[in-house]
Amino acid sequence: MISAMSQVSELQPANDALGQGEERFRVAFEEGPLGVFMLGSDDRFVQVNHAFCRLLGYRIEELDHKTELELTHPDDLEASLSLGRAMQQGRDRQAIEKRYIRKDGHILWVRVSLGWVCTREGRLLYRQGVVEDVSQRRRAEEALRRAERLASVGTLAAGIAHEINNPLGAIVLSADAALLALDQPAARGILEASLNNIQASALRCGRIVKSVLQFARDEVSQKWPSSILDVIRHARDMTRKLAAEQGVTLDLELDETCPELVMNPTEMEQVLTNLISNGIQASRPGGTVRVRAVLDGGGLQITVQDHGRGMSAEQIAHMFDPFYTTRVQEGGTGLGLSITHGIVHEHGGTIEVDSAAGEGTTISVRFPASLCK
Amino acid sequence: MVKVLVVDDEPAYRDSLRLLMPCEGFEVETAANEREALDVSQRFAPDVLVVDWMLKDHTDGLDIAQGLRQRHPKMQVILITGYPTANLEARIRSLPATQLLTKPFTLSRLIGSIYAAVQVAPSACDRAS
Repeated sequence: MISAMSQVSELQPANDALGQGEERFRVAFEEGPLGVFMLGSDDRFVQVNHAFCRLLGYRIEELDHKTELELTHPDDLEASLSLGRAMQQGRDRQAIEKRYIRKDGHILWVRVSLGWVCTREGRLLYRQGVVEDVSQRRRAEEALRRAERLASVGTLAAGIAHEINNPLGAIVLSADAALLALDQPAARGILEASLNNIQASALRCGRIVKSVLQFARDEVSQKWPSSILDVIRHARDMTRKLAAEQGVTLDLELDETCPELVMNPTEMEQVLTNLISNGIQASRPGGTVRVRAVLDGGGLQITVQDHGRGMSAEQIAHMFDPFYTTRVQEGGTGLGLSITHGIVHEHGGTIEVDSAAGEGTTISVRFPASLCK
Repeated sequence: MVKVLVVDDEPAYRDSLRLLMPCEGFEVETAANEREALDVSQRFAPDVLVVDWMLKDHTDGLDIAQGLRQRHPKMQVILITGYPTANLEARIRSLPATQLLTKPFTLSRLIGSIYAAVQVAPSACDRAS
């Protein structure tokens, strides 16, 4: 049986003074606002206080023989077990934010701080957990995230409305022109131009929708150690045709000692393909786009450099903004670099730009050593 | 004949309207940006300016309209946009001789807006008649 204050022989008071101290400790333990428990070596509760019982909705005797993990939400078990392993290796207090499942089935977000209770001789006795209800803070954070998400959804919706309605309007007017040309046998050229406009505008709508879906994707991608050099070579192959059409040479300088990078190779290839394609499109015929991959202080740095038209300060300021494009005539949706930026950051990397109008652009993507395997 | 200047960076709008407007009895010129619009307006005094609100070079269509109005004070303005915000609608209401037309629109809807515009502009009506 456990109790709210079952005595543990090693902690028995030695005299009256200690007894008064023990009484103060008992009151603080039992009546304090924070949940407190002691765990035995079999992970079962040895002691719990009233606050802990209140938080979880159990009576003291109902926690008898229960382990702390039994109250833990299944999705947080792995993190709790790993905290337990860390506890075995050192004596520092360890803390975790996780979910308990209350007796009534409701989920409770808590911060649990775990530390060892030792004898005067330093022998490890129990693990003591201090439990703080953080559900209110979690709810506030969730509300804030939701508000931010709604704000960004609003911005995205405005961009979509503008970007989609433009080509839709072009389709409607071109259809008007085509209908008019139908009545005029001599106007075959108008008919053809109008139909071409309709097709190009409809394809543009499709590209925008595809990019928006990708941009707005909320899930975190799977990542595993993989060869960044293979990804760069593959991106080079994917952009070869575009480079040939523009008369631009692609030049790779790859440090073959580069370690594997923890990444999603499909997403990373999209990053490289986007950056190389942008470099090609900014270059003059006869120009070169150089892709370098080097080790940089334990981390990995990939640069994509062109000597093309470069960007003004204003263009640099807006280049990652959704729907910002300087290539609308060539079918740019203005989402390529937004997606690139999102992927790099989601991977834990950074992206930097060095550009001057008329002199070309160098984009540097860096990944920290912790992602290199 | 009513003179219409169309300013839009989407070539499909310029191409279609250049083809369609003459068939509807309008004289039309097109421009892709503010500079072209100012150039065209030196030799072509528009009765009606049809201008996109947000051009890709971040020019505000209402700024283009304001610039052209200094040269052509009686010019009517039809601002076209794919995203009419409440703020924009309020701004339009406070401006003289300015209408808002939301993309996508049909040719007949645009022509309706042009007729509505020139009817309230005596000089344009004179020329239209």
